[in-house]
Amino acid sequence: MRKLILFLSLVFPAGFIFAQDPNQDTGDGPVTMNNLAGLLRTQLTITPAWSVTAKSGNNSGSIAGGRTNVYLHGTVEYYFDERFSMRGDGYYFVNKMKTPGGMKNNHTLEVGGSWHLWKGSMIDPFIGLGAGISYVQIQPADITNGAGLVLKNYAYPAHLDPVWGPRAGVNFFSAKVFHFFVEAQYVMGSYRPSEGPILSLNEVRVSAGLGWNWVLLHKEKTLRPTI
Amino acid sequence: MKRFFVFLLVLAALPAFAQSRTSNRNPGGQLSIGVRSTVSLFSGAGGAGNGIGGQFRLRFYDFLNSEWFADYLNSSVGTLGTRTDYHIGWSVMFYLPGTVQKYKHLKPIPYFLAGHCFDYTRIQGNNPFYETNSMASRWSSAVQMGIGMHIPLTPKIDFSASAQYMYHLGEEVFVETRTAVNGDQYLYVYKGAESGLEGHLLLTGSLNIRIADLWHDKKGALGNGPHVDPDDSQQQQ
Repeated sequence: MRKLILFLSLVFPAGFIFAQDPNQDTGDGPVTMNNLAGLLRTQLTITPAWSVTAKSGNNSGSIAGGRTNVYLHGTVEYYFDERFSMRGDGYYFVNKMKTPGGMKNNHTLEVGGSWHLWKGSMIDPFIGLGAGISYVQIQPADITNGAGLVLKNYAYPAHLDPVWGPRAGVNFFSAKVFHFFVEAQYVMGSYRPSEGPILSLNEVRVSAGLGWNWVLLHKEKTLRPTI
Repeated sequence: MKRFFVFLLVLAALPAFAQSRTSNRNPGGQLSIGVRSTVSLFSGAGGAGNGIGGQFRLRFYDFLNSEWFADYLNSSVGTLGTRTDYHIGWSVMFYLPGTVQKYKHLKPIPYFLAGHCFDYTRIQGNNPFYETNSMASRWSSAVQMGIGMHIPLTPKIDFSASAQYMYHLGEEVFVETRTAVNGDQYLYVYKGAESGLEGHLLLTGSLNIRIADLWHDKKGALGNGPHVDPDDSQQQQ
């Protein structure tokens, strides 16, 4: 009899553990997104970029010279509704070239918007457009004129150059606090220093990684529990 | 006696301001801010260029809006130099009757625009061996006219595209490509003796968000987009 009482006193209370409504967000379990309105999305990742040889003025060439540039890329994006979001992006150029005339600085700040193709889905494909400004400078190099005079190690000035470009990508909102993303942007612009060559800044920047979700508004609509 | 008639005229005009604020349901007073990207074409002393800038819009009436902008533009002068333009100005935008009250998602709202601009231009050759007469700058004033359209993305946000021709009145800056005896090419830049006209075509795309209703229209305070019918918006709430 004692064993029966002990058994019942242990088993019955334990049954209540499974009695919770799985559709309620207790704040403990995994929760995914099903409505992106009101969501603030942030990310910081490492972005490789491949330059595209393009014509700039009458000059053909690109600032990266066929090399893979690497940026630290950060994004802050706010979803005004399920279709449209505004975003700000910052690119910090990491792998400076050491060779004369190589790229020294190419940091970018951008503002843009994205149009989200699917509603009510954890998979969020989007297209967008961004425009901003780049701080660009190349390494000092020798300049020779037609008479053979050489300006040794000439320091080219830095310059602020407007850039813009279309963007496309996909976000995957798998959980409440983070998401995966992959996107590509074709950045277009020209480096036009006060002294020195005009060069194309055109390149394709590809970003992928893990981002963070911050649900600021419409929490009840934005979150949907899965367990 | 004349003063008395003037006084009577002023008195007669007063009822125009006597309407109740609650009956004002137009989007007047709406303030928006935005960022813009501009492509400059057909510039007199430079090739195509691009720029970045910002703007804010203050809407006066249903059919009348204003845009206050600042732009920074870069253009190439061949491969030998750079032209830099700083614009600061304003445009008044006129909407077609019947197009502004009927909001529809993604439906373009066309408009005409015209305005004034002040411009600082600097043209500079980029060959460090030839720095004499390689740079000139000027201030100018300009007028611009064009067409554009808003594409409402949400009730508060729109993407706008416009094409406008801007005419600058200021000291003329001339650019010549010269060849030195050693074969080097360089830019020779100089100012003319007289003022002259110079124009360029500007294609602008901007993203704008409405942030305030300065008139505090009770029916429409921030509840209505720039092109939203106030009644529709009220019903949605």
